[in-house]
Amino acid sequence: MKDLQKLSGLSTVPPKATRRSRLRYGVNEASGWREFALGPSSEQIRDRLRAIDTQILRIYAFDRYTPDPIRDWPGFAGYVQAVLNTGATPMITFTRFRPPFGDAATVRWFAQRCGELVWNCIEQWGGEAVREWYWCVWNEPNSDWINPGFTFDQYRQIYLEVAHEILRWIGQYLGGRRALIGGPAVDTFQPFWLDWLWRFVQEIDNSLIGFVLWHRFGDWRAVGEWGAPRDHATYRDLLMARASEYSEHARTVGRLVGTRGILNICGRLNVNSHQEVLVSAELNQGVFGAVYYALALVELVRGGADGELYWMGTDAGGPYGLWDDHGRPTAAFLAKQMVVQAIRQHDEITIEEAVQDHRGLMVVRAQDGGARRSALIIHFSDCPLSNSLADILGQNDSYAVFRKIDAGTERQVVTIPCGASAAFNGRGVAIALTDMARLE
Amino acid sequence: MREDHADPHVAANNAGIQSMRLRYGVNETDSWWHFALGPERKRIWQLHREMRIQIIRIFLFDKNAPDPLNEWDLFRSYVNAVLAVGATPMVTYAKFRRPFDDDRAVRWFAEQCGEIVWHCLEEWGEERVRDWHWCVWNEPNSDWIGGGLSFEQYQDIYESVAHSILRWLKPCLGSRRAPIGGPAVEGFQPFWKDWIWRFVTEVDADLIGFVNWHRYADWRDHGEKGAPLDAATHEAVMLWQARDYEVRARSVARLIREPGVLNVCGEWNAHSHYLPRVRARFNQTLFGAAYGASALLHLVRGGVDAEMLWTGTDDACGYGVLGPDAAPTPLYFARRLCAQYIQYGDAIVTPALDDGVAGLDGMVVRSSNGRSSAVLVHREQTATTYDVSEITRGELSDSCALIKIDCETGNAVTTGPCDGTITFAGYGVAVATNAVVGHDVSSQVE
Repeated sequence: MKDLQKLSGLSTVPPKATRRSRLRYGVNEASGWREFALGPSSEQIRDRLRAIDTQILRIYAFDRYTPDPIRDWPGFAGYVQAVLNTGATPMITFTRFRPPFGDAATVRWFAQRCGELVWNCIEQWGGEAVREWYWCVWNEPNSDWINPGFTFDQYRQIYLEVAHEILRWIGQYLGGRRALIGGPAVDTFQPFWLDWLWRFVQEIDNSLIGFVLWHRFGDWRAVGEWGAPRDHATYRDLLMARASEYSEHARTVGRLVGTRGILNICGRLNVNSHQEVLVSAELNQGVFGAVYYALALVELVRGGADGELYWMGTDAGGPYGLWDDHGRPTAAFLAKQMVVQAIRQHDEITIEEAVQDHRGLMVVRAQDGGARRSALIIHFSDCPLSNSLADILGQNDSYAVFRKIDAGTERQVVTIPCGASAAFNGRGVAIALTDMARLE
Repeated sequence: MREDHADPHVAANNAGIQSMRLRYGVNETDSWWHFALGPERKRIWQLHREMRIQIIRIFLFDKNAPDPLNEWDLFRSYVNAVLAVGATPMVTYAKFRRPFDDDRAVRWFAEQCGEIVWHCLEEWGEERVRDWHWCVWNEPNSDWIGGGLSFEQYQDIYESVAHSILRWLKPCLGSRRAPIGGPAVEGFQPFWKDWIWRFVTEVDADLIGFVNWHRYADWRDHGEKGAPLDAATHEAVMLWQARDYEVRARSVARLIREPGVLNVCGEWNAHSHYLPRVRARFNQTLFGAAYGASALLHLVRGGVDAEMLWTGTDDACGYGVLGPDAAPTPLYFARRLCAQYIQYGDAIVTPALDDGVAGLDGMVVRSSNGRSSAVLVHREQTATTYDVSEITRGELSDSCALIKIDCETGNAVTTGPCDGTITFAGYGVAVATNAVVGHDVSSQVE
């Protein structure tokens, strides 16, 4: 068996540890909601969402680009119904209201609007269904860009009032379970973002908190902008190196909420949040973005996160989506599909990384409760890797199916023979499966 | 090939034992004169020795430090004070005040740095100087402190200075790695980690001996710039986040590619507010002692090779553990307890404490000569009593001594027999041990 331990030149390694993946996969559907919910390709988009095992779909109320649930209930109901049609659970985000944030009457008015929305949902879909939904209060309250001057004390007041309004309507259906209300959906580029999460779980009655949400992008700068490396290759290598922050953040947040029965969810992730399509589209949606996303997902599994919500699903001409308004997939979608085929929630996994000669290579082996095994191989270095997949995984593992995407497959997933010579042409993702079932 | 571990602490072997590799250190900077030449300098050196200080970071070209080329006598005293403690100097070439991207200015600066190395070799000899550390620049990523260099500018300066240092130092290094490092990044800046990654990736590996990073918990007063208005909440948030030292240490370790490159937390303390009276309230109180001890525990767990508190001696700057008259702060005693009972090469037992104990951080430590201790940090303001055997999972029982600092002991440690329990009156640091060390032996109250 010629495995990664030998490739890396290390003769001894500590005993391996296995863990169980807790990660629920999810997606944000925001500015592309119309195409997602009502567009001619909505069925194809629904199939895409199912193909990546989407369990949570985060949608937005009271935001500038989504239907107003008060003035346009049919539009908003269509948005929610589209989520339900995929088989996923909605996470409805009560995004914001206009300042002043500290005005008691305005807070009361907002909370009542949120409660109205919940009531309408119960009327339309029934309490038994709606009690399973997630309700997120506000979006990035700590961001000076989006909510300048907003303080945690103001946020806490809003959260408490909104949570009580939600419970007013949904409480009778909960049957003793905790309502899935959460926040604060912090922007982790901001300094002291962890203060918000600490105060959120320490200063708010935990019976009112079902989950905490935090957002993480790789960067917001273009190449050479605001101190970022000027060289594209360096910039990309650096972004990959920082993907480990997903596990660091997940662990830190997990330590905060671990014993409280509160879910730990990365509510937004992608490579680059730069608003210019020319800057962020290639990073997010090309093979680089695909590999980055696969790596981020593994880091979230490693860090013990309970959920991830990619930013975002449908994005007509924008730089973020997993597909366009016609449901045409990006490389990031294809990579996520492979990750989902390899690692399912509750699978038992081990993670191995090369530490010397082949830095930039990671193998995740997964096993469900039965005999089904799979391996996910992520090559996040730009250098070609000549070893075959069988070399990397070891000959003793009898995998039946090998599939990969990299720079040489032209944004397609290809099935490759087990003994094929070149494993990766630059960065790429591959899976090996013992049977075809997970491809279905 | 590295495999993942469920518990990152259990890396050294299967038994949950981690070998302690942290070297203790301090910065001696703005108040260097009191440390080097002040009337209480010998007492200060003695107290440094009691803290088992092994590295002292000193500054050049900033922080009111003596100019080594025009004031060699003063600089000599500064270095001799470090040597009198028994420590190794980390000489920091803090900055220059000419245009950073001017080739002549960079060359001039590098020449100056090389000259200093040559003078040091002349003064103290190869045998001593080859063990010293040389840090290039201070917080280059901070507009406020280091001038806000681009990484490209910093790399150019670093490589020029490193070559200039090695011109004189290389002949006496033998096969040792160059004891030069940087970038001494300021940890509040976004993308601070970019600097570490680029430093170890883009700079010639032969020129790097250590990676230096800085970390304070906060720079804001209560209620300032979004900080909690309530002091208790603000302090609790800061204390909870002391674990960030461990997270950062591991994160930096992942980035360091070359074996033998040291992972150094070169500057740390609880608070770096711009007004001394504000930061003193955090750093020089029992809160600061609890925070500092917790930070040290996390640095040990994170596998850091050396730490340097900001600062040792302090004349009304709001940071130091010793005054110009050698008067210690609570953090001095907390550091001394950690240094005496968590020594280089000791075995750290993990997991140390019962997970269910809130408000308490701690570590069980065993030495090769049979000393077994629990170093405990109480991170809450309320008085609490703990059962030693229970919280240490039976590692220590009641037949031990208890050494402690909290608000009931005053600004001092008390030593006495342990009755099987430890009571903290608010923030505090304590050691329960079967073998009392050094200065804790002689007196009940110092």
